[in-house]
Amino acid sequence: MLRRKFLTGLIRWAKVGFWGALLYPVFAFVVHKVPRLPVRIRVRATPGENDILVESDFFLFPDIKSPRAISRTCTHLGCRVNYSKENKLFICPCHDSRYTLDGKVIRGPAKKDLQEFLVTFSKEEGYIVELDA
Amino acid sequence: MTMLKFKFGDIALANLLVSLMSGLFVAYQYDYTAAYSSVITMDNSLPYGAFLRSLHYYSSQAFFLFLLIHVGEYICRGVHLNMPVCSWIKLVLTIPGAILLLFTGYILKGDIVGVSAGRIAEQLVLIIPFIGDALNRFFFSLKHDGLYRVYFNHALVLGLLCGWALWSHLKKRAIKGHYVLLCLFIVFGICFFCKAPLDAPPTDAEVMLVKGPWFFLGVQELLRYFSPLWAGIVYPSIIIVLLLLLPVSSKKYNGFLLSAIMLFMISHTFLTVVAFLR
Repeated sequence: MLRRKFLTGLIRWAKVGFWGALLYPVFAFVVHKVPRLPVRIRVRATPGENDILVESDFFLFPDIKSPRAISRTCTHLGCRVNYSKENKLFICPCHDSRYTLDGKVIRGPAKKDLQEFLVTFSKEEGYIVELDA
Repeated sequence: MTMLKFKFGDIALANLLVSLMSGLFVAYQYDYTAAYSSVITMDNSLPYGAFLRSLHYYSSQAFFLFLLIHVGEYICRGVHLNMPVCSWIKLVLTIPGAILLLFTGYILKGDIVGVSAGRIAEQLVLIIPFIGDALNRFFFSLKHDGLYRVYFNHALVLGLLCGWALWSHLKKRAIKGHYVLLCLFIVFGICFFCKAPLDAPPTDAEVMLVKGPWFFLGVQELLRYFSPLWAGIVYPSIIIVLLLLLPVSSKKYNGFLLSAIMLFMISHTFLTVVAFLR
């Protein structure tokens, strides 16, 4: 009786092992992340023409000497924050987190400030913003 | 009690079949690399495009609604008590499967609601300890792969998984009843007069309030006040865990579980109303 119980248990675990050995490589293949290069976005804008340029992934403050690009991704849950001209704030439309124009969080639920991207300016290429991969 | 004589499962199944067929046709013209513009084109330029997309939308909504009513009906009749635990688990797991199907459908619209919903879902899944990253890679991975995985899962994987879970429940089942035809007639009628909703484009920088899909509104509201792990993962999981525990609990705890399910539904309805009124 004990031997039968042991063998039944062994066969059951062997089945689990078999399916695990079969499914793990498939799972590892599916979830593997292929590395991507950082994205460089070129923005052609006349300096001083606009205070803030609203791009798809960032806000650009077009200043020749110290241009700044602040991410539009809310640090709470990743929604795209929008620019409220009336309040001079960045507001997340999903959960109403609010940020100053420097990207500092002033009202939650977000707890972290908006990310700032590296941005350079040259007369030939305009503004180049480097986003994370 | 006469209401319970209606086979809500039949109505849900009939709507699911309509949703699958219409989804198949919609997929011919849908382009996940330019989601929003392809939906706009479908609605405005393609013959019967708006009708077919509406049919897919409303039949899916009706399927989900009647699925929930069907589950409630089963619990009221105590069917779960006489069902093998494994079969019950499979059936309960079709609820998150159906929610994911609906949710990925919302994401695929590519409008501001869809894009925001997708971003939130991705962040929420990533919060799950240990397996969050793998789950995100499997179901969403929007930041890395765009809409490709969501589309693939919506069109194929989730349907197959739900089909597998429902197979033993549905096989040899014939849809009968005039009320099923009446319900389908109503869904078709809605499609003629009311186009499936499509919100502002995802790049619209003027929008200051985005409301998610109706079944997600309660969670969206809760996310304003509590941490994403509690509000976005633990809270919605409670109902699934309670449903899973129903057949394995003793009679003494069954009443407690049913009360907890009711409490969850009341709280979720309340949160949904609050979010809706914003």
